[in-house]
Amino acid sequence: MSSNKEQWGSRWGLILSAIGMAVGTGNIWRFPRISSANGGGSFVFVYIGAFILWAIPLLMAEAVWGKATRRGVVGAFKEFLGEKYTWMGGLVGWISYAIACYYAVVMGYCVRYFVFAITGVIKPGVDTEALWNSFINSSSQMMTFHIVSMIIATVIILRGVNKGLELANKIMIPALFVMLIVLVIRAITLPGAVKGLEFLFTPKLEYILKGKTWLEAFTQAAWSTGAGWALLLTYYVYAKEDEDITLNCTMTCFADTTAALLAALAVIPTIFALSPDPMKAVGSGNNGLAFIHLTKLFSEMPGGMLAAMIFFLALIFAALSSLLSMLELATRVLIDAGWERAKAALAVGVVTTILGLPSSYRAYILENQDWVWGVGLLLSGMFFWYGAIKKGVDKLYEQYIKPSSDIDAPWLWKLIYFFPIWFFLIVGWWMYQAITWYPGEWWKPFPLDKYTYTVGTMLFQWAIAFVVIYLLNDVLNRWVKPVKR
Amino acid sequence: MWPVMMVVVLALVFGGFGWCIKKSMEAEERRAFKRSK
Repeated sequence: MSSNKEQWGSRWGLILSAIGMAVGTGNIWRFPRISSANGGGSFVFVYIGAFILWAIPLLMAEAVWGKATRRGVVGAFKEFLGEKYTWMGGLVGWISYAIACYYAVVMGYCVRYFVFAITGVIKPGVDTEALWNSFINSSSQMMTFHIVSMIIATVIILRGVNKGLELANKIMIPALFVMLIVLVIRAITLPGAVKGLEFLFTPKLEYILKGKTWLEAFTQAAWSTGAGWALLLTYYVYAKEDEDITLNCTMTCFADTTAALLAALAVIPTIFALSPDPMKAVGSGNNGLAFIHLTKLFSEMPGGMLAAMIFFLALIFAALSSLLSMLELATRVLIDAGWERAKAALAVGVVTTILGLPSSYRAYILENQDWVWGVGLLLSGMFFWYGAIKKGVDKLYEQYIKPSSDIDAPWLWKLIYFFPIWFFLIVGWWMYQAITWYPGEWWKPFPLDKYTYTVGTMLFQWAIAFVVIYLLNDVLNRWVKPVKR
Repeated sequence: MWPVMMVVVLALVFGGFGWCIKKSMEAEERRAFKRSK
């Protein structure tokens, strides 16, 4: 029998960990780019709509699963929907875990650049493009920093819920917000920064009526909040019996957006104040923006070394707090199978390190995996929707949400009825876009070249994961032990 | 016009987050009071 002795020490421990789960590197290097390309301030209105429609109902579903079953994702689907559906939990868990394997490599990038910052490498005259290329093409450096990241994360998971996850997030998340505020103050006090604020906030209300803005907002909300990944499900396994769901999920989304907006306020004014070609920098992709353009600006601005240290430390905290939730998801699944935490955490740490090595060995493998599982996680939400419909949306509200709710907003939960509409719009849009990139070749299951991935590549890897996990349904059922409450 | 937009957006997002924090603190006070009775 697996036991459930671990519990968050306080509500704030759970909330800060949930915020840590949601706030990741995407808040800092993706949101500023996407929001500025899609109407800036106008995008934020659409984004809030997207997280209300997509993220809050899904996060609430996850919280219900975790709190009701007190099991990780595999056992939760088994207990909640029945033994026929255990594979759904397996597939949701696998998608999030596959992301963890390359996300640790991404955290390694941030650790490397923090080391560059504190050792004075980021200084006036440095060729940041050459610096990035030399790092990304150095397998030994990439692997070293991937392993360092995994060691840090594994040690925290080993320490358990209270002394590990809760303590780490109680330190990292407030520190992350403080660092972002410091960066905002530095950015907006740079001469010329006002041009960036003007670019970001000039009303472009026509964007609100554009379909693409909504699709980008939904995609960002799905990736940024972690809704449907089963990470909040895992955290709610350790929630108190009378823990609120509605307010906590709403706060997680608002905190995630606050972090993203602070990042935009730090990044965009810095670029407009210092970059000779701000639009090129904004349009240069996540890695290009953070590791080439911003690093270049840090190297040249007054107090840039300190700003670079704070920026990359903020990125580390954002990445680590999200990575921890993914590793805890896998660890909890092993604990449900009767493993002790120490053994489970070590196994997850070692296996994740090994599975992440290909992504750290060659950057194109990481990009392939990000393409496949980054889009794949949108699928996970459908399983939660199916479960909510099967069990009864109203019944779940009355039984699990209402009794301990701090705000009375059943409509937020009932929005889950509409989830398939958003799902098919977003996934359909992604598929359509990807097909138009490579007409005639989109179905090919193997990459066209190192950095050219097709819809076929994505479907091929999804199909393998689905078939393997579906066939293992009975094995998973036997594997998950009955819970001792 | 952009300063107005900035104030509205910041008020909406930061205000929303602040409101959630305030409601959570009030809820925790209520729970603590209940437990102490």
